[in-house]
Amino acid sequence: MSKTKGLLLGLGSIIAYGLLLKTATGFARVSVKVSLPNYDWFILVLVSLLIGIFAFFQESDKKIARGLGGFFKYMMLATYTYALLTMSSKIEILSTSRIIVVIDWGLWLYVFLLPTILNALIFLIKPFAEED
Amino acid sequence: MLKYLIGFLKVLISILGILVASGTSLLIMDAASIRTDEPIYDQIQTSQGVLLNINITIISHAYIFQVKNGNLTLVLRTGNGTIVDKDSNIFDLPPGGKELLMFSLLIPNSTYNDFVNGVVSLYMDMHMSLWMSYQNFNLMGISLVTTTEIEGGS
Repeated sequence: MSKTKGLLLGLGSIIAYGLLLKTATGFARVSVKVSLPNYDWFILVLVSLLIGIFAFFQESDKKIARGLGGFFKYMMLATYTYALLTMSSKIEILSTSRIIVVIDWGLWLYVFLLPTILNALIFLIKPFAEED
Repeated sequence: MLKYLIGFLKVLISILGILVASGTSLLIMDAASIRTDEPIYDQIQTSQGVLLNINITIISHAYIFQVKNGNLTLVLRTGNGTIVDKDSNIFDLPPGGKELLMFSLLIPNSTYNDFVNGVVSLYMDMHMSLWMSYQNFNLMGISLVTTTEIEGGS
C-alpha cells in the first residue's frame, strides 16, 4: 500500500474541499458583496473529511478496500455537491437597488450529480476488473 | 466482462458530461433572458385614494427552455415596511414569447398626502418567481426581488 500517496491524497482532498472554499467564500462576502445566508461550513468540512479518509483507503493494497474507498469517495463528492448547491442557493446582491436572487436547482441538480455517481460505480468495480 | 462494463460507464459519463456542461450554461442563459419591459403607469384619483394602474410586459428571449408557474407580484410599502397594497399576476411563456401583465394598486388618501408632504417614503418591491422547464420537467427555479423607491415626495 502506498501509504504516503494515500495520506497526501486524503489531506489534499480535505484542504481542497474544506478549507479553500471557506477562503473563497470569505473573499466573496467581502469583495463581491454576495452573501450566502444558508452557507454551512461545518457540513462541508465534515464531508470533505470523509472524502479525505476514503481517498486514503482508495490507495490500499486490498482490492475490496480500494473499491469501497473509491466508491464512497465519489459518493461523498456527490453529497458535497448536493450540500453546496442546496445551501448556497440564496444570493443577495447589494447594489444601488436591493436585489435578492434565489436559485433552486430543481431536477437539474440530479442530472448534475449523475456523472459523479456513475464514477463511484466505476471505482467500485475497477479493482476487480484489473484481473478480469 | 467488468472491463466492458467500465468502458460502457465511461462512455455514459462522457455523454452526461456534455449534457450537463451544455445544459447548465443554456439554462442559465435562458433564465437570464427573461426581462420585464419598462412599466407603463396610469394614475387615477378616486374617492378612496389614488389608483395606480401599472402595465408590465414580460418577455422571454429563451432559446430552448420555457417558463412555467411564473408569478409577478408588486408590493407597495412604506419605508417602515407597512404594506399599502399588493397585486400579482401569473404567467407561462414559451421560448421567445411575451405577455402583458396588468396591476392595480390603491394608495389611500391619508398615505398619499403623507407621501406628497414627505412624511413617508414609498417603495415598490417586485417579486418574480419562475421555473425554467423542458416539457413537464421543472429544471431550475429562479426567485428575484428588486426594490425601487418611488419618487414624488417633497
